[in-house]
Amino acid sequence: MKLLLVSSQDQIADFFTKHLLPKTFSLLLSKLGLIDIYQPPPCGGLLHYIEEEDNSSKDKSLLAAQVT
Amino acid sequence: MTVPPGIKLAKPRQVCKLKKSLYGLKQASRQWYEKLTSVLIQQNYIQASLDHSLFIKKSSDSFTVLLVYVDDIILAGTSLLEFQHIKSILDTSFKIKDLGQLKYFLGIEVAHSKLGISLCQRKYCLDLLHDSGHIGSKHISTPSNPSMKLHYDSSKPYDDIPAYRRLVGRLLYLNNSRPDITFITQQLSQFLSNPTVAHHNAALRTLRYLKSCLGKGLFFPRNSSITLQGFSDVDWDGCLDRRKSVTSQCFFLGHSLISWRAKKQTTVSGSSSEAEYKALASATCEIQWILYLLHDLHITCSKLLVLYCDNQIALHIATNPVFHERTKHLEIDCHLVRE
Repeated sequence: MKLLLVSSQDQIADFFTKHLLPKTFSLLLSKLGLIDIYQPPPCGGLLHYIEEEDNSSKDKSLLAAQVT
Repeated sequence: MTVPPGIKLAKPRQVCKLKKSLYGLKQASRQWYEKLTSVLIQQNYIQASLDHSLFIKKSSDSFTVLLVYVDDIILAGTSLLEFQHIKSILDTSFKIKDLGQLKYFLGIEVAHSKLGISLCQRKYCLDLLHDSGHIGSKHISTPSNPSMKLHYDSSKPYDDIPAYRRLVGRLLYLNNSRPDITFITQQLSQFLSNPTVAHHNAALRTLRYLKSCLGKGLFFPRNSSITLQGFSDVDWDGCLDRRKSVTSQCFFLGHSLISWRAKKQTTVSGSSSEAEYKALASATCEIQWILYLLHDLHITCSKLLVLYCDNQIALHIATNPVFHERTKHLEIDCHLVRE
């Protein structure tokens, strides 16, 4: 077993010792890997779509560049 | 067993011999345990040494694990053939009902997907809100008020003590899948004997937080590696009334959170490093337990396991073999961490 030093900001176990402010609370909570399967991803997954569309439009412009 | 009331004894100090275990008798649970264990051991299952409700069978082509809670059993393994076999054996000896793929066990909802397995207690959470009449309350983003520290305050004592205890008890059970309310539950449980209105209000705030994220729960990804990581921390002087410190620790297997705890230490610590040190010792015990359990499950940890701590002095005490006068009383803990 190895003992390592970790800075106080990155100490996940801090989550179980203090009444935390909303910002730190949600940051540490995200590190614990909890999920809510009943809540849809933010914006109903639309954000994902936009990214994909962006990629495809880039592809198209690339294609157009090749054609020319 | 002692003679039931209503039966006259021929001689004084006579007792009954139990021939058959009946439901409701004090001895019934033990009899059931012995019977189930003997049936499983006949089928070449090995009882895990650390968790007596866990049975493991390993053969050349299959690996099966059986977890028992009184008469509810979870089966996991690699071979469907072995599943059929053990189910038929259990059915002939006890008449079991096969509920198919695991979905709901002791109030915990289990969901499977390609990515992993998730555990949550959404229904339990909803019931809790319903029974306490807070189903329509407003959302809030954190379970506890960051500007307030709970202690034995001078506000009005809360009238309905049993109701407060029931509420905290239900929050405690919710801790099975909700590490986000572990700390506030630990704090609320300190005042079970005589809660005040302030404590009750803090508990209600936790309910409002739960309302905002009912279905939140643990997630165990399938592609996670087998590396054990631990984090240990302490809130020195965390308890304002008795000046004891609060230990906290959490353990990850790969990316999955598998064990966590917030607990008030049993003795007062003179310095923060002393408190950190005690926390390290108890974290080591927990790691040891997890390691033994993994060993029983025939899993070997591929990498070195790591325990993180944010106190430099505690780490120095752990590695330095020379005992200082002031750390003398910690000697037992020291040896524990080093081993």
